[in-house]
Amino acid sequence: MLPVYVPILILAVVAIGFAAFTIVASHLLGQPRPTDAKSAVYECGMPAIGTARERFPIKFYLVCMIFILLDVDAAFLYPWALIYPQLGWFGFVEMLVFMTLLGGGFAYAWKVGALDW
Amino acid sequence: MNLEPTLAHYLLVSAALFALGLLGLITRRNAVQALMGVELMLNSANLNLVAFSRFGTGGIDGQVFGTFVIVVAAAEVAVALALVLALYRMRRTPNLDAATTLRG
Amino acid sequence: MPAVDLRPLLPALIVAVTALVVLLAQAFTPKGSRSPSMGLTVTGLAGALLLSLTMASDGRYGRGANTGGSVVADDFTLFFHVLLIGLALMAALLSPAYYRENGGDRGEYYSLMMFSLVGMLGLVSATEMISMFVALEIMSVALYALCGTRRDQVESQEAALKYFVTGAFASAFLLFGMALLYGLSGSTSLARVARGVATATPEQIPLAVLGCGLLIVGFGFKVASVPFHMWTPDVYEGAPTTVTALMAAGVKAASFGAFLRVFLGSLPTLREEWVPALAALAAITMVIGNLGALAQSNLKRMLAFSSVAHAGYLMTGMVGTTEASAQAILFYLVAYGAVNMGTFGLIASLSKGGREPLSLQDVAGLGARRPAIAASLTVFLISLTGIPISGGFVGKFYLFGAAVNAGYTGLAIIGVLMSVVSAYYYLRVVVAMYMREPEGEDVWSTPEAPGRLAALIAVAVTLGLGIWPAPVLDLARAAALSLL
Repeated sequence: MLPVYVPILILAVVAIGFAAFTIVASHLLGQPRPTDAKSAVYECGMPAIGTARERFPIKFYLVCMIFILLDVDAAFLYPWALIYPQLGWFGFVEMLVFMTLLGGGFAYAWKVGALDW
Repeated sequence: MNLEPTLAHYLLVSAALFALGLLGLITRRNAVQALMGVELMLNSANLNLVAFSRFGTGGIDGQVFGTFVIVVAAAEVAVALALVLALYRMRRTPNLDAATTLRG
Repeated sequence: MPAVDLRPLLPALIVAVTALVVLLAQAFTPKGSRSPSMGLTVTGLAGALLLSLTMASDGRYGRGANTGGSVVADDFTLFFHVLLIGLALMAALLSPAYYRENGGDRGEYYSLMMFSLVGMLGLVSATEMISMFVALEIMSVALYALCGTRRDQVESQEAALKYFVTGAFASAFLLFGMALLYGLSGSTSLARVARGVATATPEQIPLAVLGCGLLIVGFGFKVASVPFHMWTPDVYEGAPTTVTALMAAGVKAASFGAFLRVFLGSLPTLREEWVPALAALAAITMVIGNLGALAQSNLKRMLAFSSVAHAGYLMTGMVGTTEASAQAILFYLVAYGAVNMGTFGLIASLSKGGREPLSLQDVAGLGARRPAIAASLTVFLISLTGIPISGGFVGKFYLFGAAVNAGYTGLAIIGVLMSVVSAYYYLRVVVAMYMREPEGEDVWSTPEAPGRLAALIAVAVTLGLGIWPAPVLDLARAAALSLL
């Protein structure tokens, strides 16, 4: 059954095995000697405050929605870029119209303060 | 035993998803859950489109259709969430059956 | 590949750009000073209307110019474009006074209205299912938001949410139906779908019928036919009245446009399957719509049920599936659009301080106090009933005639009987205006010049269609011929 997928299966086994091996080996071989500096949050992190399941201010919703809309609309750009040579000027102008409408909406959202919090 | 999925499998899954979405939309009281039902229904149609595009004679039209549906669904949900929020601000509940001012 | 002529898309593009300009003008107007939304909107819409009219009178576009395959600019499209832009223009004229009295006069309102109009324009011109679905959603999503533009009013928010839930439901059904038809024919183009359905093998017929049925459910929701009409009274009542006017007149017209293009234009080979279904739906829609309207005391709800009933009359015309039935529907959509815009428009322009004249007591004695308004309302109600010298009479005459010619005499009889029933609730309002003594002070606003202009246009169109229907009938015939 489905012999073509066997390499993927092997790859998965090797990857999981390697990860498991390194974790177990470092546990067995390593000698944990914690100091204050070592136990602190890693350098680019921030000290955790409270639980992560906190409720977000509702304003984040607006930013989220605007992000998702722009993000999803960007989906049209990939196929367009792929066949751009065939479309030529016509495709360029078409995308320009689309981006203008999108940009106009974005400028509106920005101006009325939907992006501030 | 041949386990390669065929068009019929996709259509069955899609029909099941559509029915589940419909059920969710009709029975869920919470507006956000009803929205999920809508998404499920739209995406079941998407699955259909892509399956027809892959197995049928349809060429790539169905996949293009699918992309447009995803974008449209995102816009729809954005507006719907705004409406749910506006009603929530007045009613303090996201439940659809609380919306009972209009009747008669 | 012949040269692509994109000029037929210009009216829609003008509307879209105007919408964007209005949106940005609103955002960039300093606080305190009034934004030029209304002026910009009316200018843009008038420009688009003028352009559509020139193209409609220019014979070149009659059978459809090559616009790249997704949309077509034939007589059918141009007929609807002129109608829809005209209706939106009337709604824009009615809006400022209404929003000043009820709060929320903002540029966003006008731009949402125009975005919705762009969707309607696309919906009637789409010859391809992707464009049709996207246009339908542009129209609907903008309307969901429009219903909720009275932010302080719980009814408005509720109407918006209800409209969204049922609208999304309808879209999903429509999309699923489209997916099935695509699977059958291997193309999203309506012409190829028509060919695919015509040459379907016996095993494929159930797929085609199922797709067809799902499309009927989807369109049934959009045009508010029974049993998919539950949302209509609530949404019509809760939405701001000018939005209700646009919904009753514009959305119904645009949805019927797409309905006709798909069923009469592309699925005539499945006639045997969908005509009986449509006839049954038309019959129950007429009965339930009219009986529902009888029980209403609120004018907006009464007009909502009347809108359901009218969906039934229009579907009665559709069972004919000939160009005569398409012609009758197009003519009736003009008459119905003008009347609804006028009726809801007058209710909106009388509103004062957040209240509108919605009950029979509210309109009692209007004949003595406001003779012009009462006379205009009477004209509209007469047309809705279908009494001669009004556009509604001529329209119903052709609609029922189309049904009789198709062999559905029973359906036409139900239509006529139900029209008689409808006289009771329409004329009740006229009686209240002229025969009843007014109660209390006259608390309503005086309509302003733009609102009066819109009402005047509506009266002129309604009477014009009743007295001299030939020109519009000819245009509707040309449009119907380009469809079939």
